[in-house]
Amino acid sequence: MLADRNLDPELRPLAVSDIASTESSLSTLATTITQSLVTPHPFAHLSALVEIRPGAGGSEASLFAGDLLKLYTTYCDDVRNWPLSMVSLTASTEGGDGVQEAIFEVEAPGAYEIFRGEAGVHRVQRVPATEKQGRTHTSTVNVVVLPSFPEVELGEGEEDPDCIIDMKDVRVDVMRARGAGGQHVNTTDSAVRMTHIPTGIVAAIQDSRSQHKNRAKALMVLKSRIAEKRRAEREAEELALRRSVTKVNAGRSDKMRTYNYIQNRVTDHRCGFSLHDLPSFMNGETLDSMIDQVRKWQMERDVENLDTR
Amino acid sequence: MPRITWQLIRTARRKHPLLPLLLPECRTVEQAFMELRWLMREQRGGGGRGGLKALCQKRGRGWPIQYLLGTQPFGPLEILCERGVLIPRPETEQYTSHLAGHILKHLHPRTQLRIVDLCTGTGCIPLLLHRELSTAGMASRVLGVDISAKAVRLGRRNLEHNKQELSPSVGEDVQFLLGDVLDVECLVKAIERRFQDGGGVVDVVISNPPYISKEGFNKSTGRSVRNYEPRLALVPEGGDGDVFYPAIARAAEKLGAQAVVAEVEGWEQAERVKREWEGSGVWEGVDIWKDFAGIERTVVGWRCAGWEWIRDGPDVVSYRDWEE
Ligand SMILES: C[S@@+](CC[C@H](N)C(=O)[O-])C[C@H]1O[C@@H](n2cnc3c(N)ncnc32)[C@H](O)[C@@H]1O
Repeated sequence: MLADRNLDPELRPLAVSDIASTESSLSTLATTITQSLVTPHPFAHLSALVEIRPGAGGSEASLFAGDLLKLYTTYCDDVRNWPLSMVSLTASTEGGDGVQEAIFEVEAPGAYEIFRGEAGVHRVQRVPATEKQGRTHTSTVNVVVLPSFPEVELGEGEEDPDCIIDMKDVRVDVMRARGAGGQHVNTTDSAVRMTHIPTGIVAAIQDSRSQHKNRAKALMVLKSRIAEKRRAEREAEELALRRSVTKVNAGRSDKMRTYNYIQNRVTDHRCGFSLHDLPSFMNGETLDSMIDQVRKWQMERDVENLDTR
Repeated sequence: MPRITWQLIRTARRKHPLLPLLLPECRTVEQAFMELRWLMREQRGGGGRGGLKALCQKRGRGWPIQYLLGTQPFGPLEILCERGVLIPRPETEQYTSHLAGHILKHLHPRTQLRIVDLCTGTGCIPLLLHRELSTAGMASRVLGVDISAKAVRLGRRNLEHNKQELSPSVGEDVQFLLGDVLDVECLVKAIERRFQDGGGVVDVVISNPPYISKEGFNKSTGRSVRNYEPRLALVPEGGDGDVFYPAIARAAEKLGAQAVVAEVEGWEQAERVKREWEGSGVWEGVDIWKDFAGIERTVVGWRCAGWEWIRDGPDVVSYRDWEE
């Protein structure tokens, strides 16, 4: 219409304003359609189990793992007001606030849906405090996000949910000190390691002085990991039917987000979204806007997958 | 075990200013960090940083963390610990749970079991047995005996402390008694008097007696054990580590027990106790249970073929380090 030379000049501004309002309602509609097309993630309503481990980059990576842990804990505390319980925290041997492994549970319905987009490789570029020549280092931290399952008893005739495992398949080991044991020593060894033999999945917990509690936690972590693996396998099978799996999975093993301290910027490579105030991001203040963008991207990707069915 | 180098101390200090204090006892930064978190999390009555620092200093000098925090977990129970009474060990926790599970598997659920725990210390064994059996619906009465008045008092306090976790009948079912295990005649009479109301027999006698010899005490116990735990609980008077076992078996025999279960130091003592019990001719069979680390930890005897199932011990299920 606008391209029509014969158009009455008086109508032109009207048409232009119409375009703007139509466009905005279109985009709302698109989002609504996207949302209604994409079935919610089967575990969306669950609590989340988040695991943080340093990847490449030595002690700098474990320091950044500590920073990410702080980011998520303050986000849960200050922004969401979600209860967060530490399942296991192992300090790095390097000193400082470095973390070798942190596992925590966010005990709120829907936390999994919010956190699942945080899973992947987080890359950091900055000058480490210990670096004397002012050189920038690049290191990575891996974040795993699993759904956390409530204790369920299987009713008669019920389908096996993903998290049900046969305890006969689980090997439970406890850590022990060297030496004679018994009355000779009073060490606090209470660590527990569980192995799911059919899948080879392992969960090791040493956080509590109570072996009994460590067992319960290890079982929880084990179940979540197994469920996630089963779900991922099923999803991969479904996807393989629709399109080449490789294309969709690309990006998973790749870095998904970069924290560039020199440029004071954090960029999510999946959705191409950037924020330019790192300190407030690392305080958890602006994490929400990042998560929103990532969820939008996730939904669009899911719709794309629908197309090719 | 790593040596404590300056490097290690510096690393620890960078992580937390109090961490180096813990190194002499904890040896590694990871272990020290874990214990610091436990101290921070569980210290009673606050005390702020000064309180925490004092705790770390004590721990570094070898104080058992269980005495500093006042507790040791034992299965789902929290056992109060104080100086003068031995801290419950993970091996004891393992075979006690195993025994409860084993009993539940092999005895009729309506059995009214009677158990005596000789040398009961904190009372951890009677309380855990009662907890595990009653949770599965089996009734039991358990009597804990100790020569130390302090231990008997602590046993009773532990019953109160764990009331939430225990079944309502525990106050009547579990009792503690002051007595000398080595004076068998007197001991048996006192126990019979307690159990008089219902036939006067006992089904199982269990015991973790002092079993370390005088030489063993000086050579192979940990510094923290030697300096802070009661010698009365570890080394029998006279210094012979084996003296309690004939007394335990004789008491079990006189009380009409179907089974006797006793913790030992390792395979040499296990073999000696097994031979002695077999030689008495009282027991139909005697066998040895290993603990999670594969060490011969418990000797069991049974009176008749119907109780032969008791010979099967818990699984050996352990590993050394995370790196392994
Ligand atoms: C190795 S501790 C075991 C404590 C507890 N059963 C446990 O497993 O943690 C041995 C206990 O035997 C007690 N004891 C020492 N001599 C005794 C005796 N002659 N008669 C009864 N108890 C004795 C000590 O007071 C101590 O509490």
